[in-house]
Amino acid sequence: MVTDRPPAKLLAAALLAIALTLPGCASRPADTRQITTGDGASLSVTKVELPYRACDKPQKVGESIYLVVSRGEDKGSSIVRYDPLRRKAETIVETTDPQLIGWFVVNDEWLVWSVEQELFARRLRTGEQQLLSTSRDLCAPALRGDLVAWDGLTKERTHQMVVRDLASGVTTAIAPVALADLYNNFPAWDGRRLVWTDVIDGMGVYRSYDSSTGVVADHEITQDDFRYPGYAQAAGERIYSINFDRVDEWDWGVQRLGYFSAVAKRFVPIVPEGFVANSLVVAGGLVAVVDSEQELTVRAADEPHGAVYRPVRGRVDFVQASSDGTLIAWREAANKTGRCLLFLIERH
Amino acid sequence: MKHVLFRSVVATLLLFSTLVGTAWAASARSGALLNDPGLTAESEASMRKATAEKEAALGIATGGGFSILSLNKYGLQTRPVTNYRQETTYWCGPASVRQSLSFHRTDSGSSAGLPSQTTLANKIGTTSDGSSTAAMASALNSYNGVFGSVIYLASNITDTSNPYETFVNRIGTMLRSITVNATAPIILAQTKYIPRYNGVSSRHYMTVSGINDNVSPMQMRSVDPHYSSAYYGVRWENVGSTSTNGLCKACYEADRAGSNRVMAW
Repeated sequence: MVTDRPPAKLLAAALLAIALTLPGCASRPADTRQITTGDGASLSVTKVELPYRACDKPQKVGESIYLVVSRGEDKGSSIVRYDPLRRKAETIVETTDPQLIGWFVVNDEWLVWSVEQELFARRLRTGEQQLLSTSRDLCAPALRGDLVAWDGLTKERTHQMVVRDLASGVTTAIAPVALADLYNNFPAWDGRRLVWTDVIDGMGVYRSYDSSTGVVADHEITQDDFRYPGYAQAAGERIYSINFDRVDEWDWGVQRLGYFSAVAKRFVPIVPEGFVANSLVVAGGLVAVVDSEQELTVRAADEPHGAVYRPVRGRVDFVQASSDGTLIAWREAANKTGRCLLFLIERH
Repeated sequence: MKHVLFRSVVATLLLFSTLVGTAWAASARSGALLNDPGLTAESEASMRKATAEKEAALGIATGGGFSILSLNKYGLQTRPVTNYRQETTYWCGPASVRQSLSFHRTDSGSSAGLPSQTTLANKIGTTSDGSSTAAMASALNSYNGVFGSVIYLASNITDTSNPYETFVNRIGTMLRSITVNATAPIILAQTKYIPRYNGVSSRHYMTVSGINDNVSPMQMRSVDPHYSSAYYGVRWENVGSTSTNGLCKACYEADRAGSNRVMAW
């Protein structure tokens, strides 16, 4: 079931938006609407127009939004901190050559980014910078507090999941990655727990690392179909993932999106057969899914079979999690003079 | 009539391949140049003319416009293309050219060995900044006769009236078994628009070896030479469109970003 906002709430949201635009209230983003989810909770969706046509990986930290923007043809890219209230941008990282920033994550203490095969971290307060890796592999690091995790290469050029404590500078190899293929180099944190996926001895496996105890635990999928998980992200007892049917012939179209139930020891689909997801993000108690038509839906992570909401009308290009749990969906402008729109989605 | 026209297209392409240069520097250090510094107004006009002639010869253009794509126009088409991992972080161009040549070698039954990535990188003029698509097409065409008929053209898609149909028709037609002088097309992609890359951004070449419009959403088979195991391999993935993510959007956005051509087909 897909539900949109009830009419009464529409009126309330409109009144709220009008009130926030009155003189004296201009210090808050005006374009916010509320969606009541029926379980005593609600979603707020705040629209922010950026002074750029396109952007990459926007993430909210406090009242600021960090994002990657292109500096134009042949000029490389920058990570900027954008203040949506004052509509001002400050450059934080700038590639000195016409290079692309491949990935970046940020929280209130650290900024971690990759430029081609190099991975860096910077403490925001002091500007102190660390080179974390010069691995040849493009990686997608996950950040939580002082801990950053990524799939890195060993001296023997095999893959392993590593965690670095950015405060102490200690890097710990936590487990080898058996099949560093397609889905398995995207780790994600849920509290102190890191999750990722692998294929070990032909079995699809969810792996988790408890950073408090140092213990790595595995959950094998024993059912016959859609037994190879990827893009895993945990929320409490459930590990959400996009699962695939084969590892000998990769096919993005043959997939199921769902969660692994540690209780039932099974993968449970939450979408109908034939549904093709383009991306999955779990954050702030929400499961966000962008489908092959670029439509965004969200549902409560603790009620995956409950109501499904469409917080944004029309397509979105991507969705990204922020360290504080805010989801940011965004839509790039179709033409050079247009503006990129962000939709900040929070559960209250 | 069609044969005469086709011979003219081939002649134009071979002439054109001598016009495009080799060693160029600058742009993004990720395997594919952002802008093509070898482009001149003359070479650009020549490429556009050659593209229009090739499309006319193949029957995929009518009076500057395209017909509406019908469902199951191409069905399931595949070509045998061998996957080669790029040997440096910036050799996706030479590796993709080698992949495409592997199809021609198989198709022609040639006993000649495939050129190494080093040879191809020299021929293309690849630097640590990457390759240009026009130079890759030129390098491919230099093997015409060695591996049967090898005739490629570097083209854009944003300069057409319907970039999506252009993208699908060029690839679908080249992969169709009845097409004479078929190719294994190479595309330049901005990877963040390919769902399996999960938002990781780079400009990257790969070969396309299959199309399947019997399924929805439509799929193409990519042969990705990426140096990273996470992305290297042969996969069926969504074509998408200019507004939905997939190979077409990845190519379309790469085209919008700079002047380097985004298809060698």
